[in-house]
Amino acid sequence: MGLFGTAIIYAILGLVVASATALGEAATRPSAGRVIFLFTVGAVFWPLFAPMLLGGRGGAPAGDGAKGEGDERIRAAEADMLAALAKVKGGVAGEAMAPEAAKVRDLASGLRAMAARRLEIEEALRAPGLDTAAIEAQLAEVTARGGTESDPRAQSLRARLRNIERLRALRGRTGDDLERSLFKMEEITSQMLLLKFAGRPEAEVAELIDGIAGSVEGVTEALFAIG
Amino acid sequence: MESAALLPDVAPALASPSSALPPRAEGTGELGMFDLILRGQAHLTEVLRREKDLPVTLQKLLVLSLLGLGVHGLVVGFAAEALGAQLFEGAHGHATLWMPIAFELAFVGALCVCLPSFYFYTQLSGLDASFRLVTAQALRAQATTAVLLLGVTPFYAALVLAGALGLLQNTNQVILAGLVIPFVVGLFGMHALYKGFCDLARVLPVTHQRRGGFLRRMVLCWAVVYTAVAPVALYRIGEALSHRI
Repeated sequence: MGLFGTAIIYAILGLVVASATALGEAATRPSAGRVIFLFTVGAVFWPLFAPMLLGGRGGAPAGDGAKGEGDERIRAAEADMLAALAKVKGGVAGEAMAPEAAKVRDLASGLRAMAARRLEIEEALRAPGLDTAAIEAQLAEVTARGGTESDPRAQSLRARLRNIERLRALRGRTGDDLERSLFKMEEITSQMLLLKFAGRPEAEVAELIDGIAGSVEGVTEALFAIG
Repeated sequence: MESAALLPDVAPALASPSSALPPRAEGTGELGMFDLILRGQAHLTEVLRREKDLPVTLQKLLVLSLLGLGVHGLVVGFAAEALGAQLFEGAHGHATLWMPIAFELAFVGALCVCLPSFYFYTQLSGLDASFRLVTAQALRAQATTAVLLLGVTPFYAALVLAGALGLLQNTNQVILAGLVIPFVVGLFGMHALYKGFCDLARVLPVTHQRRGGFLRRMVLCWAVVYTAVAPVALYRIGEALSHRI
């Protein structure tokens, strides 16, 4: 295939990607100029636009809505906190806050691990062997057949039920801890915004920053203690 | 303390919208992006990490890339016509018209061609970056180079002017300088890319551990493959356009 043939295939693919890119923007009611721009650059430089189209706009894997939602909230909290850090840049606050950016990222990584752990527990609980209704039916059947309290089969089934309850409690606690950590992050973010806009004297600002740094560390330590 | 007592009252009011709203793309308009590239590379990395905003960010980076390359191409093309020099063997036509297009198509086109290789090198280095992030990082390097080119172009224009006034005898070298400058300035783009990956390496999942300096080697691989493809693309596209425009 020569240069001409390659160019035709490239152009066809370009037109497809350009159309998809322009259609993807349709919801935001773009101006005619923007549509023309998107269509032109989308057709000519389609290899740059294709990954954006194929990857989806939300960035969450298909069929993994819960994970996407959880990750999205953590990412939002992290981005808000880093944006607040950037806002207090300059002056004493910026200097004191610079090392905290790494702590914020560590904290967000920890929260993601926590969200992943909760999802794993949920997936485990969906396994057929951990179906409470089925186990209770089996237990009733064993009892109906004359099984006593000390029957090893009944004991085994009861132990499974207890384990399921513990797993559920663990999932609930992990979810609560995750939510508490996210609320704490958002609280710290608001404190940083307050620093920016309160117009406090430098000494007072420095004191507040120490407190905020302590809060970030506190959340991180609590997270690792749970994990 | 008064300020400490004030915090609990104010914090919930500020925290609520923060939790409800998606992350904002503050200061990332075309002008904001220009500023981010020049002065806020660390913040740009944060912007690139917002997968949801990546399509818009990518468009802004592309616009800046095309702008910088187009302006430099225009000056190089004008220089070739003004100095009566031949850009390369067999080049004809109005270089002022076709050179900006050739620069844009060649440099951004080379980026398109190299993207799969970039993704491969990134995965090989152990960083589990998505193809979208690799694309955005590649465009970040290109946009950084293009923005810096805008700063260098006036100096090059002064060189062209000196050639036109007869202060420089070898005008071919002036043209050669115009063709080489994007690659020299591209080193700064590579530096921005390296710093960006250093920041990303702290948050991206690592699939397998590599020995020290793996990011340097990865960025070097990116640079080598791009530097091999871009001049060939510029030559071929320039040659093709010069016969038509």
